[in-house]
Amino acid sequence: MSTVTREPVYLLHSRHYRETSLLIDVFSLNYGVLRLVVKGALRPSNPLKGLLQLFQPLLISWQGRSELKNLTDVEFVHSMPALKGDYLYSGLYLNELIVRLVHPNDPSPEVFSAYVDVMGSLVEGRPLETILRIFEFRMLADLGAFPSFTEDAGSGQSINSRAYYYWEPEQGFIETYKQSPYTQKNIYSGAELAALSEIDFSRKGTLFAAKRLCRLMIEYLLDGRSLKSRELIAKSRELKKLCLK
Amino acid sequence: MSFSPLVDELIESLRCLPGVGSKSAQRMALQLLERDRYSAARLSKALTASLDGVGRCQQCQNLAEQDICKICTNERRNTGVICVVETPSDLMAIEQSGNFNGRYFVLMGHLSPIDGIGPEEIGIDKLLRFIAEASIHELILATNSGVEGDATALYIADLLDGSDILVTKIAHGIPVGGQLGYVDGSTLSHALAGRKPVED
Repeated sequence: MSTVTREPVYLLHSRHYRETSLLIDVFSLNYGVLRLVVKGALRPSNPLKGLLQLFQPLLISWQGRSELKNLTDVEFVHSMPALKGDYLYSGLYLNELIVRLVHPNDPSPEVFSAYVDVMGSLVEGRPLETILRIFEFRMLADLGAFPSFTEDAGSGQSINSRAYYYWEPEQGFIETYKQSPYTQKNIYSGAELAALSEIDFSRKGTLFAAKRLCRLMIEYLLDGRSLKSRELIAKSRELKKLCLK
Repeated sequence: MSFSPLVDELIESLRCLPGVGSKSAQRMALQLLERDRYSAARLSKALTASLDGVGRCQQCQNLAEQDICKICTNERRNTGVICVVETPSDLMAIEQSGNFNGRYFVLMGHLSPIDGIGPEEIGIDKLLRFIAEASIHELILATNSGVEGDATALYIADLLDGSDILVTKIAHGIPVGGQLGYVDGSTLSHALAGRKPVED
């Protein structure tokens, strides 16, 4: 029987399983996204369920040879302050993104390290848009979704900083002209592409271009599925306006 | 081994109950058909009648036989306070404690984007309507402890931020009769953060 001890993980999601057990999805450093059973987690005497909290760095041990492993131990690394407001919703968004886009049982240490960084930034309350875009960029790059930022996929020439380009799935950035059928949302200047390739979001325009591009790429990878956490944030804005009236 | 189609169907149907596997379902089906046909008929009648007769309270979403449930219409209850819970069984637990005399709102779950449960699924619009119509002064959030329960509570609190309603959350901590040494770190830090001055 294979046994893994004290593996660094973050809990992504948990749901009830049978009478007193939990099924949990975790994101681990060396094994990627995994699903585990926590037997008897919901019994009043079980101390594990108090430790299994979202957004907290954990060390867990498990055993089992089949795809579904049995969790045997959980340790708290250190307690992170609870996320609030938009930072909390963003945490839920990141977890949903990983569950939907990162292949299970496939080690993704680069995405894991990006996740550790973004969790730290969320707790510190850094500017939300920037830290989310940095995470999305690192994740999309690791998933192999990024085309070349320096070469025009249509003509094969170098990106010209004064020209304008649109992103075409599976191909890359292609120069566009005034008659382009593509909407403004999917148009980037050559200068913006140069900044994006450096993950330099210091200018507002580049940050906005990064948001548009990430959204399109994520939508393409989701293949028609929607992200519920995005609806959650939109709905909260809408309801807040109603409440204030 | 397979029984007649009707018996097989009964066994398969009983398996929908939590904690009932194929062996237990078989034992239950045979008990009902072989030894206790009277109870079987009663069960079947009660199931049909409650499926037809029990719906949701239009105000608080709790299971109810009327359009508005008995708790919501009870004039002796404090109409100025609403306690938000996740499930009818949470509501029953608070009712049994006998310490709460306000009204409730049952979310029927908590926010869980990965499971596709958003604000609409737990009836946040309905809750806001209820709050607006009831002119309450306090909203107690009694969602389960855990990030998704807490997220649900924070979501509701965030929406009411800036209104003159006092939004409170039930305390989390050491169970009565519990030993500190056996309590997990997360519960202990909640208990410490939520400490209160000793009262006479």
